[in-house]
Formats: sequence, structure tokens, C-alpha cells
Amino acid sequence: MAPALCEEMRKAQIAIMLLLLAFSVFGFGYVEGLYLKFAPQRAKIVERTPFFVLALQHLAIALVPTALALAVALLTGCALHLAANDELKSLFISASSLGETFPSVAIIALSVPLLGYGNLPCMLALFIYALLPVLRNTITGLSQVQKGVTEAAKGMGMNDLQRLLKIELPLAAPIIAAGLKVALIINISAATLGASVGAGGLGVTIISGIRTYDTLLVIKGTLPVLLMALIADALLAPVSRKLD
Amino acid sequence: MISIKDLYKSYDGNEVLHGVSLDVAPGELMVLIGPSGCGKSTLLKCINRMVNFDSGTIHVGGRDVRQYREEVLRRGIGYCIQEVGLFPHMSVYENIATVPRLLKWPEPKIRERAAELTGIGGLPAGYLTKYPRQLSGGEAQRVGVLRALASDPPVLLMDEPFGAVDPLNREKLQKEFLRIQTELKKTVIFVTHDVDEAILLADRITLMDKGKVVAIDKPVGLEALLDDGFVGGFLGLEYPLRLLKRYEVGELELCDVDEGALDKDAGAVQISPETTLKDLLSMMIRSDKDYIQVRKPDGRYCRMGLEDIKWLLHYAKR
Repeated sequence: MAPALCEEMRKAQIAIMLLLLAFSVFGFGYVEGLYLKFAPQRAKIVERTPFFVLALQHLAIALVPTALALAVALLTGCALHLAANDELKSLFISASSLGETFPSVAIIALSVPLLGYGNLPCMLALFIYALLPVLRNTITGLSQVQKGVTEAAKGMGMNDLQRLLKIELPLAAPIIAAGLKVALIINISAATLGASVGAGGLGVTIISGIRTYDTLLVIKGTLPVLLMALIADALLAPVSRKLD
Repeated sequence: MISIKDLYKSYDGNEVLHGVSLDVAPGELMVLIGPSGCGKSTLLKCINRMVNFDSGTIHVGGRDVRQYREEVLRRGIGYCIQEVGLFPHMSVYENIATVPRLLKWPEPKIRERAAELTGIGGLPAGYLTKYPRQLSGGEAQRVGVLRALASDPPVLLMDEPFGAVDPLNREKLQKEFLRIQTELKKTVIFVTHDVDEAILLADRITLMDKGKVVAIDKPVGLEALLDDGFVGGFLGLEYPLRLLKRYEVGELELCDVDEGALDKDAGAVQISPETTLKDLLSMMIRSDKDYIQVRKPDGRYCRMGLEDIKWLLHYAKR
């Protein structure tokens, strides 16, 4: 009974957040209009790109690298698991932990000379950033399947691939999803940094706000980012919650 | 049915199996027993090639196990382990269906078989839709055994299957398994370190130590070897007493005595088919006579002395 109630509440939560997101993207003009009545001396900003397009760009910049990272991490993680080389696995795990300590701005800045200005360097940085937690969780998730379970699967005559697909991956799914959740939330917020190297997305609005000391504009750019991150969290919650 | 010849296996220079030979007849329940590290589990795992042996041969059903591809070999042999290893994300039905699905049985046939198995294992049919986390330890192990029996394999390998279950449930599972085994007549190799379990279940017991077979005999036969230091030490000098527990009155033919011939003062104790020879001996010790009088389940009377109990132990067949 209680889980069903939780599930209903989660759906309601997501619906409300989606409505708020729609309002923050399309309806923020009303708030701005209200604000202008009290503080008319506001710098005139010309939006070169419509706000909702920026929001869409933002989603693409955050989601596409994450999805690619998920695919690459799954393939690499499974390959490492099948190779059953423990040294290689721990090497990848420590490399990914080390990689996460690298500031994302630095990765973005470093990839500009390679890929030039625009969306690409930002997406590369986000790809690397998502890859690390998902890969690490894939490796640990696959190796944390109980020994008795894998032995039973092997003893009943499943080959390595059948064991991976039917037993180990489904059992590791919550841990992988937890990694994916972290990656997705980081990327949705980190995608704002892309604006500093000429990428689109909501970072553009935030940076214009900072340059013109316009707090309202900063809030306008931030609010949808915040809501997107919360929605991503709520959407992936049930998969990763299966952990307990 | 299973024929093991001169098997050697070593891990990093440590010899675990040192020239083991063993034959198991069709329908026989062979228990492997010995102190931990004696190689009994390794020997079991060599049969379905979970462990690859260094030299020697193993034939199952007349065919060398090395002729099969590993997976194909394993699909044809039931396998049951102490950790049970039910797949937690699958229902009991899906767990049971694992090997049949690997063997590409049509789904209706699997459903039929699963229903049949719940009958054999004494599980309510509603259990098929349950998930492993909803089962108690004993129920999970029961499902583990049924899963191993799913494709009706002629050979069953069991590695301390009831080792992790509490003593009360363990005894229940053992008796149930014995009932299933008398019905299905599988060729079973059963590893345990529990002497009582071995006595209760085994047709024959293989006693192992340090990678070698020390003795192969019926439970009663091992009694003769107790003077040997290792055998006596492992089985315990009270082994004959433990042996008495194997035999239940229901399976034995007790003598008949007319009611009139009974000693009137002593009275007669009512016994049930589950009363064991050990119980009878206990009763005798408790009474201050050197015989006991019992009223058998069929309502007739019997009078037994120590000699009779010893005779039953040695000549009774089960």
C-alpha cells in the first residue's frame, strides 16, 4: 500500500515540476513584466535566440553526451567483466575516480583548441564526465552479484553471455542507474558552463545576466536548469531505488 | 552411471584430489563426506566441470564429460548448492524454468512441468509467482532442489544443499528429499560434512581425507572401520548410536508377540511409524529392564531386547 502511495506522489511531483518547467520556459515574461513595474531601469537585452530554443539546446547538450556515455560505459563495463581481469577492472575504477576530480571547466577549456568554439567541446567534456560514474558503477554492479547466484547460473549451463544478459546486468541495473542519475544531474547543471566557450543552452542567459548585473535574468536561466535536474532525479529514482 | 577413474587435481601446486576413483550406480544416492579441505566439493565440481581436473577420466552415462561442451554438459546435470543461488529478480516459476528454457522446451511444457514439480516438492501452486525474497530459507532451498530437477536430469549434484538451513528445517528437508528420491530414483552425488545427514540419506557413503578416498561403504558397513584412527575420529565412536536413527519402525519388520505372552507388569509403549531404533534403545535405557514391550502402529505387540535391535540394525534393508 505504502509503495503505491509513494508511486502516486512521485508521479504528481513530476507532473508539477513539468508544469513549473513549462512556465519557467514560456511564461517567465509575466514575472519580468511584473518586475519592470518596480525597477524600470533595466539594461535592454536582445535575445538572439528565443528562450525556449535555448532550453531545448540545453537539454540536447546535456542528454546526448550522457546517452552516448551510457552506451560506451555499458559496453566497456561488460567487456571488462567478460574478460574477468581484476587488475584491469580496478585500474578503470581508480582512473574514473581520479577523472571525476578534474574540474569540468578545465576539460571544456582544454578541448577548445581541439574542437574549436561551440557545442562540441562542451559535449565532449560532459561525455567524459558522464562516462566515469556510469562505467565505475557498471563494473562494481556486475562484480557485486552474489557468488552463489553466478555459480548457480554457471552450474545450470548458461554461457558467459547468457549469464551477463539474463542475470548479471538485470541485477546490476539499480547500481548502474544510480551512476547514471549522478551523471545526468551533474551534466544538466554543468551544461551551463558551455556558454563560456560559445555553446548554446541556458548558460547563455545566465552569462548575459551576470554581465549586465541582472539578477532576474540569471534566475530566468537557472530556474529551468534546476527543474530539469529535479525531474531527471525523480524519473530515475524508481530504478535506482530497487537497490534496497 | 557415474564412473570416476584416477582423478588428480591441484591448485597452485596444492594437490586437492590425489587419484580418486569412484563408481556410482544408477539410482544410487552417494554421499561424499570428510573434513573440510578433503576435496569432496572439488570432486563434485569436476563432474559437471565447474572445476577442470588435471588428469583421470569421468564418465557420466557412459560418456566422457570432456566430450561435451561445458554448458551442454551442465544443462543435462542437476546442480544444487548451499547458497541456493536463486535469481532474485526472477519469480519462482522463472527460476524453475531456467534450464528448460536453455534446452528450448516449449513454454506450455515448462508450465506443465513447473506445476508437476510444485506437487513433488509439496509447495502450494501460488508459490510459482512469488519472488525469492518472499521465501524463507527452507522454502528457498526447496525451490533450489526443484530448479535442479526441472528438466528431469538423470544425475543430480548437490553441494551441502541443506547446510545453511536451521536444524529443525534441515531435518524436514532431508526427509522430504529422501521421499522425492525414493520416488524419482535419480543418481545423486551429495556432499556434506554432517555425519547424521550422511547416515540418513546415503545408499553408500564415500569417506574422503586429504584428496583420497578412505572408505566407500553402506552406512552400516562403515561401523566396522571405526578402529581406524581417522575414521573413528571423524565419524565419532558413537557412530553406531547415530546409525540407529536412520531406521524407522515403519520400514522395518518387527516380530509379533501375542498379547498374552507380554509381561503384564511392564506394560507396552505405543510407537508410531516414525519411531526410530534409537528411540527404542532410549526407551530401553530409561526402563530398568533389558527388554522393551511396544504396541506397534498396526496394533500388534512386540517384545525386543538389545540383541533384536542390533540384529535389525545389521540386517534391515531400506
